[in-house]
Amino acid sequence: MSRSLARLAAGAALVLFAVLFILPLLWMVSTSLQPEGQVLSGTGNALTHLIPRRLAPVNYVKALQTLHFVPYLLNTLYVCVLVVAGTLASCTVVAYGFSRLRWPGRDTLFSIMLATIMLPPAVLLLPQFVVFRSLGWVGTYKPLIVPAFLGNAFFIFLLRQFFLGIPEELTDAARIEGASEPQILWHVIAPLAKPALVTVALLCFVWSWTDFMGPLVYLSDDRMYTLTVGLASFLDRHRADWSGLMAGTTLVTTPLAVLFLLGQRFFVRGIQMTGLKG
Amino acid sequence: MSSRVSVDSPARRWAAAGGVAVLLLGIWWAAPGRRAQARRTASGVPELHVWSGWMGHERDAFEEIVAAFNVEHPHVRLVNTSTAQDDSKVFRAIVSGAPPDVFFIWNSEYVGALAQHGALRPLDDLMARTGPLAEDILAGGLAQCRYEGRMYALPYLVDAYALFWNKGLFREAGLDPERPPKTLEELLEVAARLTVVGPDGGLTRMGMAPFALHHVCALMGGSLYDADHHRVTADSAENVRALEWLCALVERQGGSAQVDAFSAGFGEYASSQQEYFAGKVAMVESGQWWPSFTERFAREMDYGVCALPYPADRPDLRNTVPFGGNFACIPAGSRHPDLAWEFLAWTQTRVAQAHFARVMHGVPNLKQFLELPELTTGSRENEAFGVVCSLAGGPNGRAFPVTPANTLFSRELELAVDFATHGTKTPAQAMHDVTVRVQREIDQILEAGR
Amino acid sequence: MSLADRRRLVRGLLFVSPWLVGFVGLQLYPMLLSLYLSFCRYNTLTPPRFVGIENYRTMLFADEYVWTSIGNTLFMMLELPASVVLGIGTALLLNRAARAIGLFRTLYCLPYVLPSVSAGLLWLWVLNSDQGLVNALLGLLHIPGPSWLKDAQWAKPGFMLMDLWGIGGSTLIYLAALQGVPQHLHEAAELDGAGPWARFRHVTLPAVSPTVFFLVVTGALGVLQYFAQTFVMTKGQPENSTLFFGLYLFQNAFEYFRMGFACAMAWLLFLVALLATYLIFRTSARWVYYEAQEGAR
Repeated sequence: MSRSLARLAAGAALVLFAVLFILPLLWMVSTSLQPEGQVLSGTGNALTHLIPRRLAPVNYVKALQTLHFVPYLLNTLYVCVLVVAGTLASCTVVAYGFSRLRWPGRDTLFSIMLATIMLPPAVLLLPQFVVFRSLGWVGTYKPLIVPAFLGNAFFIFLLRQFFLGIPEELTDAARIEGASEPQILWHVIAPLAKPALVTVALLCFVWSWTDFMGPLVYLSDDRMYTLTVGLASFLDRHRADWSGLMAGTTLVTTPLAVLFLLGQRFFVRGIQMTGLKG
Repeated sequence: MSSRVSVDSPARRWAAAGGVAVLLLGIWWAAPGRRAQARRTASGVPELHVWSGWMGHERDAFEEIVAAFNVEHPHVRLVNTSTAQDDSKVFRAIVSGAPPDVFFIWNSEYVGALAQHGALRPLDDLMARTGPLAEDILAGGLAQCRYEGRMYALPYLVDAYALFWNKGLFREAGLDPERPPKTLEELLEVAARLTVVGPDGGLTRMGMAPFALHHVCALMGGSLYDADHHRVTADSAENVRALEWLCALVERQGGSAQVDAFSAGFGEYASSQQEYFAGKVAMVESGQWWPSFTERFAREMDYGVCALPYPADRPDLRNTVPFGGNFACIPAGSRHPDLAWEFLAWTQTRVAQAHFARVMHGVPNLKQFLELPELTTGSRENEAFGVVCSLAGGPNGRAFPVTPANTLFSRELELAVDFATHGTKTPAQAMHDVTVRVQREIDQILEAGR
Repeated sequence: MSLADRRRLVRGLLFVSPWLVGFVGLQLYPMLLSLYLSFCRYNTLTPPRFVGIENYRTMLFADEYVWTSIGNTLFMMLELPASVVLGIGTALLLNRAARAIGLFRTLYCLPYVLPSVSAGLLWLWVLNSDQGLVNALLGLLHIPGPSWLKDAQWAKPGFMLMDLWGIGGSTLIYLAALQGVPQHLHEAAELDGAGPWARFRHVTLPAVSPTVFFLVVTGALGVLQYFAQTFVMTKGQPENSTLFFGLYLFQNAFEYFRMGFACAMAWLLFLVALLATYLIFRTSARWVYYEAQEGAR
């Protein structure tokens, strides 16, 4: 009896928390669909406004235009896709060097690399800015894209862990048949590591999409903005046009939410693979 | 395991890779930012790059000006880039060694710092060559261009502030709608009379929303900086009095908690949801663009415009006008300083001033263009605009001083208001703290520059 | 070194060269550069000028806002215990074979995938004292809501509420840890007559403790760098109550022309982070080893 009661309580808590987590998002969407005058009218409160009385999709038209959604989306995709491509290419090769090859000094370098995972990005921001500046890259996409082609310690670590799990016999057999190391990587390891590569691609895409500091610091021309920076400057220009702001926020968030829905099992798997679970 | 290798045939993998490559190329081709980044091909005519902060219809208006300039000047092509009101973008571009040829600063905070660090080209010699004369420029605008005795910026239209009041709400409160408050003391009384408390104890209307501290300082006759001796004077008696007055304004309308709660419900600035247009606030301090906003967002409103009030004991400060404006600078690293100046000098002509003033609702920055009939007559909007223009021409134009630490200075002043209105610091203490912090920063900058 | 060794070394270095270039060019050299700049006055427009330890002295003894920002940042650490409780709690709720559990998992994690800028804008509105969702919910319970982001006392708790809302990422990690607890341990405890609390206390909690530790330390690193949210939402207002270390560092570097000073701040942050990292590595050699072993199987 008490057991089923406990189950009921747990079920209720499960639903309650789900509501609490999702309520702000629902409210965001409902605000974005109402005219601002209605949202700010003295009557009722946030909860009564959850169900729009009058729909105003015009907020979206306005947000699409003033947020320059389509051009910024293309910019964001441009950066994201190149970053993902660069990260996949560089991290795979480096992880291979750290896992399947044996060479003196490998483990020392590997532990140095592990240590850099913990370097706070905020610390590197200023000196990297000075470096990119001396290269004349400020105001271009290069500071956002080029580093991806130079690997990412976290993803290298993740891929290395995965590569270590692939039986040595497979690569040894390929070596005996005379395959070169790049060939082994491309024909043997890469196909087997597909789940890990997908995880890396997904995580990398999300991080690049949500990046704010990088585009904020390095992009000058507003035609080059990515969505997050565009959204932030939208706030300055439209002081408290809540409906429009929420429409813009919904627009920027939706693609990511969809991606998460599609790829959530990869996310969970990725977390388990990184060994973060303790 | 090995069976999976064969399932994943090379053909499929190549197809997938090809698909990704096509996608990549497509995005690469379509991304507008990439194209903005690519150098525009020049057709033998030098390109002059101007950066400006205007967005939306204001940007369109400036593009019209750019087009008009290009028609008249076939030997150069002016190209506008918008920085979306973020001045620090320009600053980073200068720092990175790829500055625009000429740029408009959004809130002129950076002029002093950029000039101090040698990032701006002084304009005195260029002005001497073609004009305009410094004495033809409105004093409140000119003050924002000068640093250490030299001109580092040129205004292209200025903003001048005045008091706007909603006559309907005056009537409702039993006040004479034709008698706006003349003195700052009177304003406190009137604001309190206009404030309405709802049945739940919260505000439903305010007499007047608080406005920028440095504007109040100007009204009180306070100066924030002694440029000759490089002394911050934010703690002078007038400035402390200004902050005390702002606190009193908040206090007389229910106190900071009430005012904070009420202002959380204010709507978008340029819309009918703006608190003044929505009838939530009866008086507002705003600039010459306000008549045009009123036509757009509250066409039915019966309103008046007059000079901001003065302290009762200082009638000499009557008709004080706080100034803002649009300011253009030429970076020291500009590739075409002479062409840049040609553009700036052109902005001072009658046609360029009148055209831009009409679309941007800015005050012409040259005295001789203050009373252009096409701008100041013919409609209620134009006449109200004309009232502000004629105020702007008066002798009491005031502006934020140009110091090498203005970003810090203006943020500190905002903080002082924050601290004082919430009772965390006394006004005198808050202004003292501003003075100490900004003075220390300015001292260090000047010492390093020596 | 033998010829074969040398060939292997060259080949290995060739493979890791992308990372090596990135490490030297984008991490090592910039760090050393910023160390040098932290001893300079550097406004970024004129060449840096060496001033010894002036920046560090100013930072520690003369600029009270540094301490304000450190205080604010440390205050935010208070959210870490709450995030542990909420993270484990939600993970326990999700660690069941209920119907549609996948859907719930998604609902719990959706806030986490929001870009911090989006989340910030949304919460600016959620915490609006007049029309906001939080105060409307409090109103249901007849609790008068505070002004949140307009009130120096309540701004930081407002930020914490927002962070806890985005707990989903931690929940997933805790969930993975819970699923790694062997079922037979639970069964054995139950046979011994242990109640649910005792089982949680003596079986579950020890098993997830490394995860707790890991998440607390990385969470602390995250708090140390708190930036995007306050940059978008409050810019340090009201009354400097949301002036966090990361924000003040950014303002110094890019708004006040004090790059040298900002570099000194960055180095202080780095030293603190180094300490945290050291703690992780001293205590977590175990999980790295364990995973590698499992992977090699």
